[in-house]
Amino acid sequence: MVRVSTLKQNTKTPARSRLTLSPQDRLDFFYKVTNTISSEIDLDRTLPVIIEEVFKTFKPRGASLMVVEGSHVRVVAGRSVTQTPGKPSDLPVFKVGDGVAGRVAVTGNPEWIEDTLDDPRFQKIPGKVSKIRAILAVPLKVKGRVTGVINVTYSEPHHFTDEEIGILQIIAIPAAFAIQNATLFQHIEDEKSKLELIQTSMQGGLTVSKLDGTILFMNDAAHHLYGIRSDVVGISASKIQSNLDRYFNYPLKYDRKNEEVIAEVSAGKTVAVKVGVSSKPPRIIEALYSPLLNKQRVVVGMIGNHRDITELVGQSEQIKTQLISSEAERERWEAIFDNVEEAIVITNKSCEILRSNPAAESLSGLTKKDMLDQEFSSIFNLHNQQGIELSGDLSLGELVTKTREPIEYLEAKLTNAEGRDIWLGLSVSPTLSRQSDRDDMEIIFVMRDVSRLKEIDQAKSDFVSMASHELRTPLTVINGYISLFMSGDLGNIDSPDMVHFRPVFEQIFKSTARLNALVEDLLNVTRIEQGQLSLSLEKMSLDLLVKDVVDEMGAHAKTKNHRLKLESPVTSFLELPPIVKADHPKIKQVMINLIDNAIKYTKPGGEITVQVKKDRKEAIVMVRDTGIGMPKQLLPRIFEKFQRLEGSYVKDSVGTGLGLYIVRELIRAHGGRVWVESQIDKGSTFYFSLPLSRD
Amino acid sequence: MTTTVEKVKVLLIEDEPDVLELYRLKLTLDDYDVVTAQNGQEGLDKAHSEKPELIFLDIKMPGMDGFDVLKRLRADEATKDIPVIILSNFDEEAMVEKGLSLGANEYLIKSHVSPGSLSEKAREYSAEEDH
Repeated sequence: MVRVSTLKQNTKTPARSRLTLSPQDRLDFFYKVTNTISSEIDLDRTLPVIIEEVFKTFKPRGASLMVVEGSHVRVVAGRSVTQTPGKPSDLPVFKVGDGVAGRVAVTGNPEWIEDTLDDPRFQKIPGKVSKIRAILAVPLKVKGRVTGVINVTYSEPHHFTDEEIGILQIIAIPAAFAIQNATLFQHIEDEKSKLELIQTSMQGGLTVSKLDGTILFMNDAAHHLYGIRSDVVGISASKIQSNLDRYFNYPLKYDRKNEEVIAEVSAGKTVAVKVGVSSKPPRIIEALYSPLLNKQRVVVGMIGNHRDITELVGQSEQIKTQLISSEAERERWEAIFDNVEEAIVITNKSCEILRSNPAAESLSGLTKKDMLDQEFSSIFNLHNQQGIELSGDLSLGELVTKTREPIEYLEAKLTNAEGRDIWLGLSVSPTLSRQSDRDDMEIIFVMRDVSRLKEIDQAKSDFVSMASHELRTPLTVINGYISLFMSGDLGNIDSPDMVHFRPVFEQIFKSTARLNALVEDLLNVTRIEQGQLSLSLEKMSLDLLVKDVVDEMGAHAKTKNHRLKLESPVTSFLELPPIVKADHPKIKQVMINLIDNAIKYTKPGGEITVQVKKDRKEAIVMVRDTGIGMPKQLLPRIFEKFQRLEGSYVKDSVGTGLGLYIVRELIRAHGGRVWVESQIDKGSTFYFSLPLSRD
Repeated sequence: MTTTVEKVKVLLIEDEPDVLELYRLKLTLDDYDVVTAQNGQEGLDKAHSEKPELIFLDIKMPGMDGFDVLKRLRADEATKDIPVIILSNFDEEAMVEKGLSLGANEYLIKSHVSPGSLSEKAREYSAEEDH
């Protein structure tokens, strides 16, 4: 009302008026317009209502409402008598400053032309006869700024009264606000939907809270993260803290106190808080609270960014655990490495030393530093039993690098840096198998000083060797005289004087033969153990050798009434004989030992069967008896030294306990195998195989 | 009395009296002219003075061992062609090889051969000499 009276005072010269509004009409009008404007913020609906009311009140030829958008004035609503009410299809755009409306947009003052024909201010559209003879335009102003223009036009000259000008100006006020509100609202809506879009699309939780901890805003993700039971927005922190169960689905555990966090954020810091949520499975949330500043850069609240770090924490925990355990593992390993009695040297595949332990230092007589990067064979210059350098053609390391097969055990002599001779038990292992295609292989040498063992072993061997040789001499004499006696060199043994002596001599002969065998066995074992077993290999037909031995042993078998027979396998005439490369006397000894055993461990009247078979790769000899057999538990040990059968019958039997050991070692030296099958009281079957000769 | 048929002279070098006696007995019974020596030096001396047709040589002897004796026999113009058979109870390959490489004609293991086979060897070698 104040404005109206003000306008009245500012009205121009009164002219004839066609517009007369009763006070009631005016109230109705204002009510309608303001009601529409305040209840509707949708411009598409508001503006036509305004135009319609203007139309009804002014009864002009046309009315339109324009908004200023930058340098243009755009008609957003309009109506003419020729058009139906509503939004015109063609809404023109003017330049600010052009025409009546354009000028109003610039000046911010009402302007009118009572007859356009004789007024130069009216902008004619070239080549077009304008139907407009009179026009009134008033600005739409918000806070002194022109936001639009509203105008009415007539097709006849028209005198605009102060009242008319005033009324249009009054209408312009709510219209301006309507446009402003609608625009603002639209703007807010746009921003809001943008924000909502951001919030809903955010995986992380977002909260805004006051400095007392009261949450002002919380997005869905934050809701979900914390398992909100009842909305916490707007509720004071102290109330929530005192009744957590009510607001949260799960117990929460913070690693920082609320007050501390608020204090630090208030001081402008960003604070990280870890929150454990006891959901199933439990999760860990990291909340980063940063200050929310107003325009004056004063902290007025906190913005919280919340994210689920359960997996991250899990991973880092796992890594930590692994690190700790690998650290422990490493320490354990180091401790072993440093304290074992064995010398351990690790080299790369070029056999250059990478690591060595204290035991290796004392063995080599050098420090770790001295050994580092040196070639293994230059530090550990190894010789075999015969004094031949092991790193001759191919060093141990090179061999292992090439084959990628470990060397289980071998003994070698080391002359170390201090000039000390040390016997080593040595094993060499590659860190990668033959199957691996990796290239970063290392070689592990494990060495142990076996000098003492070697000395003992040597002493034992020396003793056995010496004893055997010493035993051989008297045996030679005894055997020699017996043979002289038996051959009649010492007199006619068939003479009546001598005939009683013959059985005595036979007994002596048998006993010395046994003694001989024992000595020979001991010597063989000594030789095997000293690695002195050397074979002179020749190509031979194994079946012929076996036949010879069976023939020779026939007489011996007969003394116990055994039947010793050679069984021929069913073979075709075309089949080749089992040709093997072997040391004839040694394989003969194997056969003698096996047949002798069969005779020994079979009760008189038994049967001993010998057979030679052949498969694709090897020849197999079988010696089967119908003897006393062996218990199962003895079978794995039967080829070891000094293993002998026990039992009432066996006691009468004699043997050194070395025969089968010698058999096994001799066959192994030939690259063959020995094995046995046995059943108590049914008998035993011994087998050995030899690889067939390929050429 | 002088013998019309010259017996084959054999030298036995052996430090072990029992063994020496056994072999001496057998070879004598088989009608060989047996000369004995109980150590290496004596053996060398007798090889020089007696000029045997065959020498049986032991290896393990105190002082000068069989190998030393063999080396000197072979180094001496007067004895280098006399056949030498080593008679030892050492049957290690290295020993056998050493003996043969030093110039022994054979290497026999005492406990593997009967006294009778010594006579056979003597017969073998003297027959070779004759032809």
